[in-house]
Amino acid sequence: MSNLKQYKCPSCGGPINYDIASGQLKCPYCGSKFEIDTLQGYDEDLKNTVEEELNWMDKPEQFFTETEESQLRHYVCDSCGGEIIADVNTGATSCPYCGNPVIVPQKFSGILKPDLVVPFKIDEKQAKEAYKKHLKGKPLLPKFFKDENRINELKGIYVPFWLYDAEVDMAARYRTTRSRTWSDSDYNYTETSYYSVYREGEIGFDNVPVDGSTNIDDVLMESIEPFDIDEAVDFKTAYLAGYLADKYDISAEESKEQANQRMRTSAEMALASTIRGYDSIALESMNMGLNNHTIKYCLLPVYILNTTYKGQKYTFAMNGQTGKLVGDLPVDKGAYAMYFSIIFVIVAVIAYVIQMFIIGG
Amino acid sequence: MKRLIKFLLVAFIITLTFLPALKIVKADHPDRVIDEIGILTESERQELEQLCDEISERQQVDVAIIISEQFTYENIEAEADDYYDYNGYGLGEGYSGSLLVVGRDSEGYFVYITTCGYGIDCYSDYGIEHLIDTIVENYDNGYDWYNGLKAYINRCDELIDMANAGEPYDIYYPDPEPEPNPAIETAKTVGISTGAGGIAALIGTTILKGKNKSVFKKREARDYARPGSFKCTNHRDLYLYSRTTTSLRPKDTSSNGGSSRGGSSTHTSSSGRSHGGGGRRL
Repeated sequence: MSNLKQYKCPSCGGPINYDIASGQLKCPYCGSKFEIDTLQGYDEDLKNTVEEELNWMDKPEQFFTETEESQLRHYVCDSCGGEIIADVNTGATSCPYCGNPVIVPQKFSGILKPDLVVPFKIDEKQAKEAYKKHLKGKPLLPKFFKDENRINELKGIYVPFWLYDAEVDMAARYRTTRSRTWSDSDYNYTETSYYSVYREGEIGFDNVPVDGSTNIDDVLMESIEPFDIDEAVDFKTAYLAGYLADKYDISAEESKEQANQRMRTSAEMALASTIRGYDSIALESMNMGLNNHTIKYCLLPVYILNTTYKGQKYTFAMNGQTGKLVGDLPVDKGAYAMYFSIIFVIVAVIAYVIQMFIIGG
Repeated sequence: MKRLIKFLLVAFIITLTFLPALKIVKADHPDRVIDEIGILTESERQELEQLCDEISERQQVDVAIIISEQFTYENIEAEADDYYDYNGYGLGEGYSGSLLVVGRDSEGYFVYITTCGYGIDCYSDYGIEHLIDTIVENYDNGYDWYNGLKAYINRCDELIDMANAGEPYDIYYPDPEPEPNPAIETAKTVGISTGAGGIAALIGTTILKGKNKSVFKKREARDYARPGSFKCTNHRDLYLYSRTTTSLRPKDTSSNGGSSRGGSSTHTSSSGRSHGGGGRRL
């Protein structure tokens, strides 16, 4: 049985042999020499101690009671397929996503009951003011968007979100460098030292939200974050009075990858923040394990305004809790040409004057 | 009349007294063009020597040429210096001048220029390369030694003039600035102005366009990290290896006068005099 242990060269990845002459381990491919302690330490770093474990426990299903169901209506839009829930008194006359007036009442059954709801804190009047403010200071915006009638199409809707809680164990390996330079009479020298940096840690996340509806763009919903879930209350049908609610059509299982990715990025950023004193840092590997994880189903308050300009649909969304409003706006080509020309002429004239009368003397 | 005869007699005696001395001076100076190989006709050699004599005496800087097989390329620097020093070349207290050696061995022709005294100042290392180029150019165009050497001698004269004017021919010898062409200057000014206007307009409108965009993907979850929950539980920083890269350092080329020049590199010959020089095979 062989007692020989083969190491991997940290420089080129080749297998390393023992060099009797120098008493060091020498890579036969790149010629790098290492102390045995260095390679043993590097070998340990390669064996990441945190096992990748990203399975979420299934969310227990909670359905509406018969009494609650009797207070709610379920509609499906003929045009975009959006599924809307409204209380019996509010009802729904048009689809909040596409504006289609033909929405058909459905039998209310088999729909999961949300665990939590964050009630609207911004009323419709405040939302309209915020929309007007959002349009200010945008000289390239087409006038069409400032039309008062369009602002009236603003609708408050509860959007279904999955909220992910977890305690995360993570371990990451980085390759870092530190450089120093010096010179003699003939040459400049740059010595770059390479290090293997290993970090292990833990961090907790509460209520990482992932949009559970295909009717509304995920990136748009991410842009109106953050929501303060501490203000969430147990769901009661009474909160739907005066508002519509979207029914989730992406399951918690399907949404978890997005939550994992966001947690992984933040976990890696937290670990990297502990690495200091190097000129460059490059992540080589990272593992993440989840503990004490739970998933909640929550309705979050959002104002939505859909409008179509020159055949293109534009959607604005406002966080109904914080008032943060987002929405990409088109560029008015005429205004763009005008501003381009004005800046062009002014700067060109100034540049000409400087060259002719100041630099040219 | 007697006085006139007396004056002419005295003048004649004085002339007779100093004339031999002048002749000795001329006779002591070695020939300025020697051709032991025979690559020049005798008339060509004489013509070149007259040119060398005229320049040398006018500039008081020797310009001399020897064409010979007595030199070896491997030791050309020492041999050329010694030939210059021990055969009476150089004018004035500093033995100012230059000697062009055209040698020949089994591998062909080679040339070497040794400089001394003020000649070192007149011919920088770059200037010596330039002078050799003058010969090589004619040699490559049909082994025309006569015209090559003639061009060399005339160029020596010009380089001495430049040194006399305080601007020796060197690596940073400035080319005369071309007269500005008003049409090109105007076009340049308009071009720069248009370019600046275009770039500024592009940047300005890009900033304005940016105001219309507010939807961005969120890739992290820091807003939802539990405050104070992050702990670094294990850490290790392990030195692996180092790599050193070298790059040639630009040479400091400053010389006296503050201008940036290549200058002349010098060495000491067996006689103890300082010489500059340079050469190559043809």
